[in-house]
Amino acid sequence: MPNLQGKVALVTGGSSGIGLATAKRFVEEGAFVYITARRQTELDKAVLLIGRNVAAVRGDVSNLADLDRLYTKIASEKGKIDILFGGAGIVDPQPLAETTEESFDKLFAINTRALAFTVKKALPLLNDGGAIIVITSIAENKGIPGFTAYSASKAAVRSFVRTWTAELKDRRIRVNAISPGPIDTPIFEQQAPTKEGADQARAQFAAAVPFGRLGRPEEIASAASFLASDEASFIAGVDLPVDGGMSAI
Amino acid sequence: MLFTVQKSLPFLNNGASVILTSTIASLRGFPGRSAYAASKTALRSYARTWTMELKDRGIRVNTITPGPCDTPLIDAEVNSPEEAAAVRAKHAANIPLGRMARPEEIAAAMLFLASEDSSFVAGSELLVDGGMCSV
Repeated sequence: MPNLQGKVALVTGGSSGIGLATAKRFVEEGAFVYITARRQTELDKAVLLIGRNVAAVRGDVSNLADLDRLYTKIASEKGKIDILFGGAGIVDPQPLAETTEESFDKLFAINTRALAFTVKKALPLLNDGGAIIVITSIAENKGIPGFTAYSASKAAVRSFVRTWTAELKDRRIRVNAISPGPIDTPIFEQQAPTKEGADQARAQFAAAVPFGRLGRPEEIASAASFLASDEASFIAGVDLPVDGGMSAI
Repeated sequence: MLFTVQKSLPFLNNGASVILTSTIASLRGFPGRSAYAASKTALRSYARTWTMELKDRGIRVNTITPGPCDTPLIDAEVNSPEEAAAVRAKHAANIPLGRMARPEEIAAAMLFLASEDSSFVAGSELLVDGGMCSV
């Protein structure tokens, strides 16, 4: 079983969905986890749910001053990070014919640009031999109508993983991606104006998965826990699909 | 490999995990390895096909792709410790993590694919190669 005893982890997007499940699993494996997200109310709920060995820092990963504040706090309290999990991300489906500049810029600002600066600013704090895990998406390798900017923003993240693997090799920092298929999280509510719409989207995506169901956020968390641990000590630069077989079809 | 898995089907529990061992030779051109590389690339295809055939039984089929691994086979294939060290150094030079895999590291990745921690991982390829084929 993966063991993260004594490790310090940062999980962005840690108040909900995949990020929350991952933070919870990291704590169960013995890590101390910092979670960051934009809304204090959601962070407070997440801290209660996780229960121990967790600290929440409110902030927006696309704001560089917020990142500086976050890392200053971690540096003063723990001095170092062993694991960085980039869970902050958004979707905003728009067909190309209706794509707005605002939507395009927002997707790249959070999914791509913010991730690059989240990792950049973590580098002085990251221990050599540490692990960086980012979230791409099955969308990066598929043509899904409505996902022009989202898919491209995630394909860029897969590219980051290759570059950073090469750049950080002398520090033995392993950089890997998990590519989720459709996962049952509140991101469906983000994309639909009504509950019925969200549930319909869930059903549609589940039908596209060979396993016939959405993934659970815990199933991404368990893959993240593996990649973060010494069990994955020779795994670097990969993009691991966790998608119930969806990328096989 | 095909018949190994075929004949195991009546004995596999629903929800079982099938792990096919491939090689980085299936991802890169290594002179002298035509048939080996092609035969191992076929396994990646098997993983996709069998994922679709066995999904109703919840059986996960994945491929693991190890990079160069430090085993006694290296010493067995050369004539001196110096030659063995040279072979190891040559492999390490191509690997971002700067060394070959330990067999335990391949085993740990297999354990992940065998366990419930990979319950939503199906039809995929897990590269355990120190970053070699990703850069």
